[in-house]
Amino acid sequence: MNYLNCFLKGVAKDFIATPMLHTVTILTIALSLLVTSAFGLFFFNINQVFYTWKQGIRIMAYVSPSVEKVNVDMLKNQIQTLYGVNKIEYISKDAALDFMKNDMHQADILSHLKDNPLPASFMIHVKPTAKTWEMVERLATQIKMMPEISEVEYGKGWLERITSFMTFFRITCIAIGTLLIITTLFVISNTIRLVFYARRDEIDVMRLVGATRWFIRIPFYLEAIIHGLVGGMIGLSILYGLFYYLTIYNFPVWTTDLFHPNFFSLHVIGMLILMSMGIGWAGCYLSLKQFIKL
Amino acid sequence: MLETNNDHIIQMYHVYKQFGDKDVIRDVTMNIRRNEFLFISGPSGAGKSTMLKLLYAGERLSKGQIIVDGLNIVRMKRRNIHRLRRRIGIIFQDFKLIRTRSVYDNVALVLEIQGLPRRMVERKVQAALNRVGMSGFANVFPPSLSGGEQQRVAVARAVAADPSIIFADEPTGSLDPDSAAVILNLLDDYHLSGGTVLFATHDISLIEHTHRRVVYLTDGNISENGRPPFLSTQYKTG
Repeated sequence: MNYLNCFLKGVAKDFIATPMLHTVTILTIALSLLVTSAFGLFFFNINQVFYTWKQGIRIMAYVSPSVEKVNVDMLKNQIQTLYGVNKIEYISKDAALDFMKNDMHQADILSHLKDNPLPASFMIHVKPTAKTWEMVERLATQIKMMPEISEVEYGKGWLERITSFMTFFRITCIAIGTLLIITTLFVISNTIRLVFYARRDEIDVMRLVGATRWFIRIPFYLEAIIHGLVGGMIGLSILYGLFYYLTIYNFPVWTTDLFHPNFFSLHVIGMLILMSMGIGWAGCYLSLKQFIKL
Repeated sequence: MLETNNDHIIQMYHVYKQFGDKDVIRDVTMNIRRNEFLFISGPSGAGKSTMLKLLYAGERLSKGQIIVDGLNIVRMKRRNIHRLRRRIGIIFQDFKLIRTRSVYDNVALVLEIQGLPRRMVERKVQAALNRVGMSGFANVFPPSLSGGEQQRVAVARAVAADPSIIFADEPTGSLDPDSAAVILNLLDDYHLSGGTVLFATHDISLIEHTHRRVVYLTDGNISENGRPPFLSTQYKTG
């Protein structure tokens, strides 16, 4: 407790003595966290849309016309046992024709046909898991290999494009976040070094009167963690302000059935602030370890 | 191997210190009794400050053995130096006070690093400042004090934690004669209360008529070890 008071007093004095240095560091952390978490928030919301969209992914498996009589229940059960199948519906030739006539308003054209040209089919709903793309492709291949099935459709092109976009976006987020974290580490490390040099005489005296390494180091770590905490809170506050302005206050039209923008949960906010404090600690560690031999 | 002796608070055995090829301390062997007031003297560059630095582990010795208050300096790891420093007080010619901390905070620092409770720190700081006659300056910052006053604060800091030894490295070197006399008296008081003092100085007027032991260094080696007046001829010729 005595030590803690002593450390906090020292930290407070240092913040008062060099306010500019500390302010710049805090703002750098705030900016880094703002940009990184803005990407994260965008990704989080896009991912929600993607998840909703994935829930609607279906595979259409058309029954081969050469097959005279298909045992629908047996084939349905066979498909149902495949990994990744959520729900399966059988659409008979007649049901497909009715759908085309009524729902697609093609009754005039179809009335001239003597026979029903449409094949019977299975509409297979896929489970919305993280690896949907790989799963859908594997599932489609397995279904296509069944002799009773002539053709399989599942919007391969779209799925590929969206999945590639999401992967690219995720990698971009991670890359930008990593670069910003590295930059922030250097800024914090540099700040601690400058503070150390500004207090060099004081530290020499502390060593001469019997201060341990940790007694000297802890205030620096405390400062860096406070930088992280305050910077993180500022960055996230700005992000929330922008989010509120763009989605709730100014453009509520963005909210649709498919897309309902959400801010980070309290749990994620806590994690981000902890991460920010961790970056502060790591920057300080680098500085004390690399440049300053105590 | 040097064995710990309870009568001797400091034991030096064939101590050498080299900077590059130069021997700054050469084959110094001496003992300092508990509760002794010892002057270390000699011309500039003789090795007085280096000897003190070796004793408070400010420098590593090149060869030999040193035991200070039961602690073997040679075997001591760098991370354990604070254990030695907490048993001693050090006073410098340039005071080494923290300019951005008040007189009170400067003195309190030695007690705070030991984790003493706040009330005890207050009591001990007040006692130390009273001892050096600086109790009215607790909230003043060092740059607004005279050299003599700053050195009195440095003495207060050195004695605040009741150390067993005080190393004073030219503590009067930058002071006028009156202020120097005050500092010498303060160290005398500390000595009379049971402490050991090592006082390094090149100022002949301080040791000319002393009844205390003087170790005289020449080129890093002890050339005289005893009580004046035997030294006077050395000084006059040196």
